[in-house]
Amino acid sequence: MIGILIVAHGTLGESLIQCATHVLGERPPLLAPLDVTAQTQLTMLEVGRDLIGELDQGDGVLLLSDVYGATPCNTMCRLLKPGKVEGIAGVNLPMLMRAITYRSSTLESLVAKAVAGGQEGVLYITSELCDATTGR
Amino acid sequence: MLQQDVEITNKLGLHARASAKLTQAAGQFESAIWITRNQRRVNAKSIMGVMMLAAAKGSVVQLEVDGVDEQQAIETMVALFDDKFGEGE
Repeated sequence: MIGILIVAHGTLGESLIQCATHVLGERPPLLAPLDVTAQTQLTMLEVGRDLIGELDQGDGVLLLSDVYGATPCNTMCRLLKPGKVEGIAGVNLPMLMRAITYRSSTLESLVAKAVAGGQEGVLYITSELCDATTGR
Repeated sequence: MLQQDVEITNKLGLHARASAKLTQAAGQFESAIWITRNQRRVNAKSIMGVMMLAAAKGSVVQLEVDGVDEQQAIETMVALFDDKFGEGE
């Protein structure tokens, strides 16, 4: 099983994990947050390396960050190892749910699934979409 | 292949937790399981696919099951809908 580490601002990582836990009914294994701020960037790099070591069961680790160019994502970039530790920016709940679903596949296909899941989860809510979900 | 129409009767509809229960139930079976609503057909083993149906209370979806354990699978799926996904209302 591929490990997942959410490298994000403040408590976003743990909040996303709490949301996924609520939906799935249990906290998924091998899933952890890494909270990064400009002040904690350097210590978090060390903590991140340790966490990746714990999350890697031999199948690799997927890192998910919030915004490309921001400190958490810059930290994430320093933790990547092509083929072993891969990263995606723009994490959202649809991306995390998709990633949790496909973590028994290869790291390469998990990256593709997670990116597609995140993108497909961003929708302009037209009146048709709204009516569908409210039953109006 | 087996097909059956089922109505969503729980108050919150096919929301996130219900979709998770549905996909977990579907995932136990070898059979391919599909759910269709308003011409949108999704894999019942895919949580994001099921959530995208956005099926509210009162809507009717079509279940299609195809495979070696299709009879048991469709009975389990219909029972889950009838049980309001264990939500009581």
